Amino acid sequence: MNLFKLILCLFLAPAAALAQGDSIRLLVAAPAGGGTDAVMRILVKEAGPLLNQSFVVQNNAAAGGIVVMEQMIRGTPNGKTLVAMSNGSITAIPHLMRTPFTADDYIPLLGISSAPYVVCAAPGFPATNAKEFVAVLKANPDKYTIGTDGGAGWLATQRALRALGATVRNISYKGAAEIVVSFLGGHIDLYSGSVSTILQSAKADKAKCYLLTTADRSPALPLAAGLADFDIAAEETPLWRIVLAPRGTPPEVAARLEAALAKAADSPAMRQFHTDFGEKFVVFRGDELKARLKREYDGLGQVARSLGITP
Amino acid sequence: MEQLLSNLGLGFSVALSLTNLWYCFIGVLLGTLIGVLPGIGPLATIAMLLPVTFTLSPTSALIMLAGIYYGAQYGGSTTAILVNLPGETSSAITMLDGYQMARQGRAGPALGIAAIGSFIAGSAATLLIAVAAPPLAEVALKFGPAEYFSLMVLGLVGAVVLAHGSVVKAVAMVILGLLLGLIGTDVNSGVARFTFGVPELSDGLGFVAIAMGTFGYAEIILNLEQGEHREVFTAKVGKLLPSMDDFIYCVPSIIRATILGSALGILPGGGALLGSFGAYAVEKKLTKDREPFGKGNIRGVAGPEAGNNAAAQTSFIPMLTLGIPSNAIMAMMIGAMMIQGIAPGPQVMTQKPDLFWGMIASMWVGNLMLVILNLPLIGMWIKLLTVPYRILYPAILLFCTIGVYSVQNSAFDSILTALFGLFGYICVKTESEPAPMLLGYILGPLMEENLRRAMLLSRGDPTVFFQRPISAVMLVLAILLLIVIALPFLQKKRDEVFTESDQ
Repeated sequence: MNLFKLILCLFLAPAAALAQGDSIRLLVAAPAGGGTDAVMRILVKEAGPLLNQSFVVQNNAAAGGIVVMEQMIRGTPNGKTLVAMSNGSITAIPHLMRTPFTADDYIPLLGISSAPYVVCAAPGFPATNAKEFVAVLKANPDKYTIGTDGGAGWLATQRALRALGATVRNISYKGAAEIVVSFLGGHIDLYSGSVSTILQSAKADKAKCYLLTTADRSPALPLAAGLADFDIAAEETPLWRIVLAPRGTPPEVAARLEAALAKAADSPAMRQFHTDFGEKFVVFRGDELKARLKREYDGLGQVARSLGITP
Repeated sequence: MEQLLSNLGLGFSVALSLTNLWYCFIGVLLGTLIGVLPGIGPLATIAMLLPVTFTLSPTSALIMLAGIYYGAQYGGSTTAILVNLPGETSSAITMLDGYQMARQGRAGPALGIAAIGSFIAGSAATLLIAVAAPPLAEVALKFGPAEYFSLMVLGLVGAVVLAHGSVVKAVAMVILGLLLGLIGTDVNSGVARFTFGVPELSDGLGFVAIAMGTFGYAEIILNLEQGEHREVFTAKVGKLLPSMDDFIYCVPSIIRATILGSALGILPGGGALLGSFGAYAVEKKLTKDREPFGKGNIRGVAGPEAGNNAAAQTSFIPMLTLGIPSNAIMAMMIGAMMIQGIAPGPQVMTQKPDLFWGMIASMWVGNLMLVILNLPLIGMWIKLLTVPYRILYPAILLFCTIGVYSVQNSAFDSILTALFGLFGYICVKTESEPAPMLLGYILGPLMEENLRRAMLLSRGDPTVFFQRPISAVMLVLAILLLIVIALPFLQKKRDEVFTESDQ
């Protein structure tokens, strides 16, 4: 009988541990295998030992992150369920579609990395540098077609182009991979999307990249100008990633998580990833993070309204 | 040529190393298993295994992940043939004739030809990747929005050909599929359509949920209705392997399907699914002898199984040569490469030749392993048929539900599957075939997106579809196909008119 109990215990122990939620669920609002997913998986691999807890990563990219956000907000705010997403999910998506949450429903724990969206043209484009590129766009309003993701990347690019006074015709695709295919096939004039997707084509002289949506330049793309070069650094919208906890999480729990995640983010593996994919390694915490989110949310809201978009 | 041989030599030296052989074996074995289990697809499996691959060498990791993908194509056919459930979405079409063959006691030959057809197609596609990957990737780039739209039109007309029985019902089912495909967020405007405020619907209905429900669950409900009828056909299991006669009969199908599947696999958005559907449509049109399609014609198994395997393999071409994922699984492979610190793109071939050629060679090795693994297993799989319903069906339902859930970690999808199960049952009762609906559902959204993109690009000029040669050819083909379908229909009408006037 004792033996039976022992076996039963052995069998049930892991199940019970899971049921009690001894591990932290990180709901990643991005498909497995993408950049955001990769960053988060590296992050939790480092953070797990620091917290003495294991992380379970669950990917669900549905509805631009709305679904996982709802899951997290509806659950118990005990720090056992967190959400990770790219910034667009809370700074861009709410301007494009109705979202069942507001900025009060979550606590930002950590912001990480900064990567530009980049605008590129075919090698034959009549411009040798960024200034000429913008001049050509301004001289030909609404002439050139640009492939965007129709979401966060679209708003980020529009924000920069509006500030520069250029207008282009938007063609929406489902993500950078689709855009680059259409761009390389010569079906659209301009590419707008992540650097990593176009980087190899740019190196092979199949694309000339002129403009970034960040203030700074990127070492990976020497030709491309940052917004600071045009004195509109305030209009920058990079792609970055955030980890959120639900509202009502006890402050000491949130603080403990934040400290561990920040420490985990500052690891060699994380730095290596950012170097490998031409992204800037930065970490935002606390008030700086909140201010950043607010600024970006307001900026993109203006762009959306100027384009006549209401959620 | 010499270059190719030395490259392949390098590839095999990598693929045949003990470590890589082992991971290749693990990959195809896992692939076969998840292929057999309905619902648990390669996408979910690769996602779950991604963290495990961190610790492997990049080559071993990719060899294993690739093995899961094409291994699943083998395993998927087993469930399709034996229990009429799509073990893998791409084997949905194999059910039509494969299950009928099983009912007739020819499950063995059906499973055998599926394995052999897959092997031949897989080997040919591997060779194709080795010889022609870079130029073929360039061809895929020629497909712009206009070309895609025309390709989808051709596909939809083909969907009507797929159906047997009433043309009107087939058209109705295609349209229903198109309508279902409208659910979700519009790519161009970001407007949520027909979602009724349900966030889970904003990305559209899940394909797995629809396929599993309408084909799988519906079949189970139907079988419950018939009681333990099935025992009758398990008694006459028959031979385990296809006869020489069967094999020779299938060779042309396998060749055609390999060519078609290879072509469809290279296109972005393509992959195993389009390969199998396309091959079935072609075989159905070209085969006139033996039993009709849908009644257990062995070509209806050989064609799609060869097609999906060829396509599964050639879908690696854009990924390996351009770093562009042609479907979600390839996106996952790119993720695996990124985590390993390899930037996917054309430079992989030159900078990491051992990885590139090793992976290609491993595909052939993996295909060989799959045949060796699968042929002896056929006897065992057939034993599955003797498991009584009361045990088999709850087990299948359980696996299906877990499988559907695992795609998006979404309970909503599991409920959706149940609803589509009910719908599938109604379809069978009204003799409306769900296959054209499924194709309409897949192609519809792609067609719409590309139509609108093409029109935006041409500033609203619809003649663009005929100005571009590739697009024009496909539209003309679609029109010809329509005429072919419509002719007997019109002829019959005329006959009816004549007979009436005679009276």
